[in-house]
Amino acid sequence: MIRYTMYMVILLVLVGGYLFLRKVIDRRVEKITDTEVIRENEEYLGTWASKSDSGFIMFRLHRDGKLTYRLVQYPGTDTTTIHGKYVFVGAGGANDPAYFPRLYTFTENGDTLFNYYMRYLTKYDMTIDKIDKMILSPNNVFDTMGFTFFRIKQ
Amino acid sequence: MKYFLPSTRFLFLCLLFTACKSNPNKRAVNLEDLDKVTETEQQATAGPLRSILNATELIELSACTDLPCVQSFMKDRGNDFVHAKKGEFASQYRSAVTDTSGNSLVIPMSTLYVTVDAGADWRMAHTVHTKALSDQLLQEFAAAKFMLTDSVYSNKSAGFIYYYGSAQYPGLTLSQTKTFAPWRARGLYYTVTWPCYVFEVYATE
Repeated sequence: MIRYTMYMVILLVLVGGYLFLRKVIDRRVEKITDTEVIRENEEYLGTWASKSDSGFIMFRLHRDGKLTYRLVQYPGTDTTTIHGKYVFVGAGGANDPAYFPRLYTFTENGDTLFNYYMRYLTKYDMTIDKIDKMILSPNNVFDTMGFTFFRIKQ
Repeated sequence: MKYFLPSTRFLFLCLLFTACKSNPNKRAVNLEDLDKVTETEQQATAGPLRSILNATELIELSACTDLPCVQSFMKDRGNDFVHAKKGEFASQYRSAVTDTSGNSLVIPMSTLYVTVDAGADWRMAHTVHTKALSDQLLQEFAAAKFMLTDSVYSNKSAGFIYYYGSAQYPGLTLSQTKTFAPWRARGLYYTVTWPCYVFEVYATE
């Protein structure tokens, strides 16, 4: 019995150690390459972009809560860049994307850039979606307007 | 101990290689390909193309006198209409309809209900939920030379029912009414707070 308990403890230590090491390395890689390494329940992080006839929007949600927002309004070619911060609030305060959270973004002055409900976010272990998608919507009413953003390689 | 250090290094290297390989990062797209991806996405999620049946379809449907006939007719139009419940077809396209209190309701833009109760008289009604769509449908019927022949006040639907006939389609009668009681206590119509425009086409001979 003691033997099996010992094996169990070893297994837990191994898995825990692996996850801890992975986290340490992830952070290190992020720091060196200036990207986000995304794991379970943090699929919202990273760079997202959307292109339409009226303009191009790209924003990056940094791990430390910072935001970089770029906007080009056609037919113009000037890029407006805004640095600010964002807040990702799930139902009941949980940050789990499964619970239909809201995404608030603010400029440095504290003005709200957008405040959207996150209707869809590709899950970490999804195999059907070939490209990660985030659908932001002004409300949570089914079948109404939504803005689709795709994950961009950083 | 002899193997401990090399194996630790190996493990560390493996971890290093897997570190960047998070699944979402693999599913990212290059910025240059964004146009292509957006286009593919729009094509893949092509939604319903229309919100109501057109006049020709309603005329064709008037030949049906039972549910299987209507079902087989509507099956070909599955992209735009869904058979929600027995005898209740609703348009897949939904949008906001403003009711009389000014509330915005997101409901199907039209429905097609047929009688399914045993022994009940046959009734098939295409109910449109906005005036613009109703006018559009009336214009289509006008193009098929449907002229106003009669109008009666109906207590049941608390409104005027307008009857139309066309020389091109002898024996067919179109009835159109604006009402808050398009179908008694069924499906979408238990509590109706928005004006409905009901179209019914029957063979009278």
